[in-house]
Amino acid sequence: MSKDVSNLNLQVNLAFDKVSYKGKDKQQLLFSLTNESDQTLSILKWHTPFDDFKGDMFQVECAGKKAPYLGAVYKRGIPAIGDFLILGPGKTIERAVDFAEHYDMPDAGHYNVQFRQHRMQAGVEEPPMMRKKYGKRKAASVVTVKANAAIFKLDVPLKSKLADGTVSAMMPKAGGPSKKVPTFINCTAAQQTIIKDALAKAVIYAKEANTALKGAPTWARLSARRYKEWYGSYKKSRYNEVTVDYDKIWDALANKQMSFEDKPAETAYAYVYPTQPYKIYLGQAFWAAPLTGTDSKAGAIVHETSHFIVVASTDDHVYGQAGCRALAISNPANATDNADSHEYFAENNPPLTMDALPGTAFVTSALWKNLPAGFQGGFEAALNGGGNFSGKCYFFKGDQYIKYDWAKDKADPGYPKKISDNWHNMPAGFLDHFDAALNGQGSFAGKCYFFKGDSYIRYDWNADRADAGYPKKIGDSWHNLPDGFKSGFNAAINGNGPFAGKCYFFKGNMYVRYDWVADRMDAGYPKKIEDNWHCLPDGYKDNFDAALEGDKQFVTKGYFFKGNNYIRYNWEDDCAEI
Amino acid sequence: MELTFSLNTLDIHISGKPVTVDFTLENATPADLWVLKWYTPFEGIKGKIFDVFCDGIEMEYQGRMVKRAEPRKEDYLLLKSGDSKTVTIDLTEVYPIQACKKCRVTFRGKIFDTAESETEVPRPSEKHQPFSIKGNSLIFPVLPESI
Repeated sequence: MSKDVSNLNLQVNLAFDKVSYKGKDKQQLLFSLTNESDQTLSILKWHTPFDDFKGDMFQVECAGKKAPYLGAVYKRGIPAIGDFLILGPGKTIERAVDFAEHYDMPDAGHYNVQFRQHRMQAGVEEPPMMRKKYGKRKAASVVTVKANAAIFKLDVPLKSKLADGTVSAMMPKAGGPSKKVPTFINCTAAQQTIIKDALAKAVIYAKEANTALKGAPTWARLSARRYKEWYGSYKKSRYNEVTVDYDKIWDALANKQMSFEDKPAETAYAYVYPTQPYKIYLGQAFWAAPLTGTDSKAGAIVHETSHFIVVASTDDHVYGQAGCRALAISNPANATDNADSHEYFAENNPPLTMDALPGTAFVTSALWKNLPAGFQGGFEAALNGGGNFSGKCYFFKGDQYIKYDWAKDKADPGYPKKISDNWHNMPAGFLDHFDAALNGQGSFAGKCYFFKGDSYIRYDWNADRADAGYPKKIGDSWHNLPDGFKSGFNAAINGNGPFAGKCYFFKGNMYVRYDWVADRMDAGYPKKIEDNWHCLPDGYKDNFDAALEGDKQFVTKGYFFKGNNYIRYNWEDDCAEI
Repeated sequence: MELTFSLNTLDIHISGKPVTVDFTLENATPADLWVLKWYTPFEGIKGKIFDVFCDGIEMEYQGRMVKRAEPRKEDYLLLKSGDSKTVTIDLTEVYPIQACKKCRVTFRGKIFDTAESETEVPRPSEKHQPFSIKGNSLIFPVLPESI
């Protein structure tokens, strides 16, 4: 890298129109910018007086005390071409600003004013390229900006504007909606009242939409009807985008200076120029619309506000509820970017919830392939193979079992076989009818466990035989289990994804969680299955026959079998799949 | 045999001057068509209907975006079978076109509604079935004002 960036210098010069001021004199600050380099520079006007006073551009101190900034602060999007100014080599450009009104400066004394030049963006590229770089956050400026400090003297103390409350309305509110009154152009008093009502309802719409999206648990987001209706299939990035959109819409409606202009000749509801926040032009259809509900005044305000580039920069891909519903199905990415979709989600009419839909109970033999007759349901236990047997899983029923291949996604031929034929050294009483089976993890990896009544045995995958010294009592070796959970499990499974390192035992409508590292049950159990396992369909909230961790391409799932059916639990989403 | 559009403009444009484009809609179908003017230049530019790139950089749309009411009859354009109609627009009114070697202009080509008989229009928006029409795009240089 030997890019020549020498001599790319901008000099800022600050000068007040007087050395000292008395009382409430206007203070004019002359801001001049000189291009001291030998190339033409493109300079973003933002954070300079060339863009008026739209932020805290100066550090103002009196006797070591910082003077608070009183003016507006703008949330910025991507600059437009017109946000850049072009300055030839050796040229100077000036702008005078009224300074006093923007800072609270009640004390008499000398004020030191410094320009915060580090926020300036400038470069040798032309504005379109500068703009592109800015959009990609590659805006690191190669231009050095130097600035002198300016000093003025205030001869007499003044009332603090902050203390007397005259400027409180100018300050952006941190939390709740401000009392900011919108400005009106060409609106009658009656119209102004109606707009204020609609704006207040629009604020509520945007807040409620944002809260509904934020508040929905992650497992409900995949299937929530209200989201799906307007935005289509769930994708985390799109969901987050929409959530942020409503936050920004709310912020604009509640905290920004909205402006409304009636356009009596316009037949449409309303229009905006997306590059010109926060002004909304109203047409005939707006006045004919109801205050709230579908295609209402409040909804139209949400719609229009979403268009502003600094807000959500939405497009109009389609209009109307029918079109938006179709768009959600055909193109969820565009739906996420469609102003009417935002309006309809916010209006929520007809009302839909962000509740999860129940998962599906699938017919086992329809999706697990090549299951032999008599082994299409009613499993008593299920278990993944370990050691030389990994990549397979086993289903047990009575004194028989079958083997299933995860990668091929079908049952191996030649089964069922008798447990006693191929599982070696199994003690008497453990050759038929297991309650549950489970692989060990952590320091217990390489072993698997078969549970029956109040006893269990341990099997070693590498030795391919049951370890000596078993069966043992469940309650003696599995620690901290409460009475009632020391026998008669229905099913057992290891957690995965966010639940890795734990295993779960199910009995009736209850379950316990066991920690492999601590080698004890976690405190607070047993719990009710349906309270913590989400989206379980009716009839699949208790008395599972068997449970099994998915492997290979199915590793993110856990399977719960009951009768001839099963449900598929997604560990990442923490819900039963649809 | 379909509804198509074409764009025509001068070979060269000058930065700071209007960039006028002729937009033509041609009905090559055997039927007369009532075409909803929404999102076509026949209603002016009331949405992001063009994509404009100057040397690969997208020009920001600076025009209006409209939440529309139900269409009225006058929002439809009658285009008889075999006929074409042309309207001229100035892109610089809504796109800040810069001096560049290659300015590329494409029309998004969405038509919201058409009908074959006058009695069918206007049609409520829930009955609209938007579709895409085909046409050319434009590439031309935009020279600096002083050369």
